[in-house]
Amino acid sequence: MLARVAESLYWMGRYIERAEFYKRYCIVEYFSALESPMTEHQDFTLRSIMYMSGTEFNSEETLVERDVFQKVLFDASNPHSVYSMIHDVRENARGIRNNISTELWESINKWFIFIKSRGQEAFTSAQYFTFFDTMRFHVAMIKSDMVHTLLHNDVWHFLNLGMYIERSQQVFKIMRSKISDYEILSNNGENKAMLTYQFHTLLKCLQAFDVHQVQNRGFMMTSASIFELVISNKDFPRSINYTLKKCHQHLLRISERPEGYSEVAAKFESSIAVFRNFKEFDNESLVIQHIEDTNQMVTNIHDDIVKLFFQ
Amino acid sequence: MIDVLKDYEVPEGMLDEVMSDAESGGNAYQKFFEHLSQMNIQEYKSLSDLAKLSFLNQGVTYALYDKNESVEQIFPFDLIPRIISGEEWERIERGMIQRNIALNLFLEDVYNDAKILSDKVVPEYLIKSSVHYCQAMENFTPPKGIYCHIAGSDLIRHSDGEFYVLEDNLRSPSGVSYVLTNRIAMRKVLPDAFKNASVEYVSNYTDKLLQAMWSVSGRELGDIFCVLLTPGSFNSAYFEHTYLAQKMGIELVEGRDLIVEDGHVYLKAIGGRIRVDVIYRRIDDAFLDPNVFNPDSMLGVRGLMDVYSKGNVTIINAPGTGISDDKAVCAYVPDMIKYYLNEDAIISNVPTYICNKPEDLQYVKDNIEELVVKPVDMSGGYGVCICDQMTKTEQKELLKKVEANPRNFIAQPKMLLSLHSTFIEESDQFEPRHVDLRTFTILGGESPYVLKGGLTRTALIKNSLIVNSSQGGGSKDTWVVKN
Repeated sequence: MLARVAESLYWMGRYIERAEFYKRYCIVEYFSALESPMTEHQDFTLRSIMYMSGTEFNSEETLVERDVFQKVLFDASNPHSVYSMIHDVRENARGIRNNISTELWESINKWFIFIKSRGQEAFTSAQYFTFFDTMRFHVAMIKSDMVHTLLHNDVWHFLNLGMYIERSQQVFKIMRSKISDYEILSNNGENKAMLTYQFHTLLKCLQAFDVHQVQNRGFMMTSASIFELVISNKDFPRSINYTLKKCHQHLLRISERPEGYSEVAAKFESSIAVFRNFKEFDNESLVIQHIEDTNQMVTNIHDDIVKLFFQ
Repeated sequence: MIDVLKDYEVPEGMLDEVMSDAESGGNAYQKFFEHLSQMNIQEYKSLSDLAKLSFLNQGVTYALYDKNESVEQIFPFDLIPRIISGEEWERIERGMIQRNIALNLFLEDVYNDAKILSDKVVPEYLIKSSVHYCQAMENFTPPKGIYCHIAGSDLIRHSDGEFYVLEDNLRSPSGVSYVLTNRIAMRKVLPDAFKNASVEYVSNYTDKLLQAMWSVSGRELGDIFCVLLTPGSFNSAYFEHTYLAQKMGIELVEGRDLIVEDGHVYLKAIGGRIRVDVIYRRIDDAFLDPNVFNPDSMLGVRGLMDVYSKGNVTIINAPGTGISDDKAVCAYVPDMIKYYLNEDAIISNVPTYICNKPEDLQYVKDNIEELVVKPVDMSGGYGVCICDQMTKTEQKELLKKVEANPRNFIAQPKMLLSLHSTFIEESDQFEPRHVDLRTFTILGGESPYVLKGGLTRTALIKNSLIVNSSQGGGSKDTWVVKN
C-alpha cells in the first residue's frame, strides 16, 4: 500500500468520527438545554457548542442560535465545521477511490451531497431533529459499509486506526469541555442540579447514559462512576480504554511494516499498561491530570503513526 | 402519455436515426417507445432526475472552475438510447479492428524502418513535423509490437446513412467510464426497457483492458503488477481514472508514488518497493519523464523512459502514438490500410483537405464557405471553425491564419451528423439533435476487441454540430441489439 493511500484512509477514519462527534455534541447540547435547569443559559450552551467544534468567536458578543449552527454545521470557510469535516472525508476517499468499495464511496458521496444541499437551504429549529437524525443515518450507512464491504486488511486497519485515535481525542475533548463547564458553573455558585446536568450531558454526548445506568444499577451516579466508565471500562466502545485497545489491535494487524514498526508497537503497549494502572477515579484533580497525560500519550501515538507510515 | 415522435420535425436533407428507422418500417425503437408510451411527461422527467441522481451519487462528475471555485457538474444524459443493429455493428467492429491494426503497424513502421515514408505513401514531413513525434521511440518496438493498446475513434453517420471516421484518439482516449455508468443508470431507471431487448453488454470492457495489460507485461500471471498513472484528483477525467483502476483492481498512482531504481520502476509502498510491470498512463507524453520530455514536469517519473527502452516496464499507450491523432495524418489511414493490409477501408474517412498540400489549400481557399476548418492537434471541439456560420470577414481572417501555418490545419466538408431524438428540458419536448459515436478498441489480449456500443455524444443546442462535453454536449446510452 502507498503511504499516501494509508494516510488518506487514516484521515478518512478520523474525519468520519470527528464529524459524528460534533453532530452528536450539537444535538445533545441543544435539545437537553431546552429543559430546566439550562433554559436560562442558552448562551452558555451555544458557547459550549462553538468551543467544542473549535470555531473561533468573540467572547464578548452574544451568540445567535441560527448563526452558531450555520458556522458549526454548514460554513465551508470554517475548517472546523461539520461541512468541512465531511468535505475532507470525501476528498480523502476520492483520492483513493480504487482502494475502497463502491458502496462505501457512494455512501460517503451521498453524505457530502446531503450536507452541501442542506446548507444551501434555510435551517430552522423545526428542522434540527430531522437533520441530525438523517446525519445519524448517513454515518450508520458509512460505518456499515466499512464493516461489510471492505476486506479486513490494511485498508480496514488504517481506517480504524484513524477512527479510534479520533474517538479517544474527542472523548477527551468532551470530558474537558464538560469539566470546564462544571468548573465555571461551580465558580458562579450554580445549584447542584445544574452541575449534575453537566455530567448527564457528558454521558449523553457519548451515548453512554443507558450503559452507565446498567453498569451502576443500584448506585447513585457520581463523578467517579462516570469517569470510571468513560475512561477505563473495557467493554464500552466509547471508553478511552476500549479505543486504545482497538487502536493497538489494528496497529498489530497491519501487514505492511516499515522499519521502526516493532519499536512503535512496543512503545504503544507500554503506554497502555501505564494508562491502565490508574484507579483514582474519586479524586477529581488526579482524574484531570490523568486525562491530560493520556491525551498527550494519544497525541504521541498519532505522531509515531504519521512518522512511521506516512512520511 | 408520451409520444416521442409527435410534432417531431426533422430539417430537410438531414438523417434522423429514429425517424428513418420508423419510416423504413424498422422496429428498433418500437419496444422502447411502447414502454415510454405508458408514462406521462412528468413521470419521464422524474426518471430523468433519478438518472441524474444516480450519476451524482456515484460521483460521475467533472470539475468546472468558476471564480476560483471548483464546481462539480454531471454530464447531461438523455434517456432515449441510440440503438444500433447487431448487423450494422458487426461492420463497425470489423472496420475499427482493421483501422487500428493498420495504425499500429504504421506506428511500428514509422519508428523503425519508416518504409511507408520512403515509399511516399505518407509524406515524411507530416510525421517528422508532428508535435507528437517522439524521437525516444525510434528503433524501439514495445512488447508484442503493440503501440495503441486503447484507441478511441470518433465516428459520425452522414445523411447518406453511412458511418465515417472523423478522427482517431490514440494518446489517452477518454469517455469509456461514461459508457459504463450510462448503462448502470439506464438499468436502474428503466429496467423494463431492457427486457426482451437483447442489448449487448458493456461491462466486460475492464476485463478486456486488464487482459490486454497482462498480455504485454512479459511476466507470469500472478506476478504482474499494473498501475494506472493519473495526473491527480484535479484532472477533469479523474473520475474515469479512479473508476477504471477500481474495476480492474489495480493501483491508482501519481508520479510521486513511483521511483526508478536498478533499471526498474517501483511503487513506493509502506512495506517496501513493489516492482511495476505495466503503466496505463493517463498523462500526456510531455509529462511522462522529465529526463526526456518536459523537464519541469511534476506529474511523471524521472528515468521512466530509460526503463521502458530496456523493456523492463510497458507503457500503455506507447509514447509517440499521438502522431496518429494529428488530423492531417488521420487522412492517410485508408492508404495505410491498403499499404499494410492490402484491403480497402471498411469504414471510410470523412474526406479531408490537408492545407499543407498546395492543391488542397487552393481548394480550401476557393470553397471556404462550404468547409469546416480544424487545427490538426486540438481536441474537445476546440478551434473548430464551421465556415458557413462565419461572416466573410471572419472567413478571411481564418484563411490568413491557415496560409500563415498551413501544416497546422485541415479542412473537411460540412458533414451533416445524423440526428437523434433527445429530450430537451427547456421545451419539455423530444427534439432532433446531432450525435456522433466514440468507439473503443483494445489491442492485445487474446484478440482485438471493440466495446459493443461506445459513447454516443449529443449536441444539446439546436442545429449545433459540436457534441463535445467540454462544449456543452451530453450523452446517451448506446445499445447494440442482437439480431
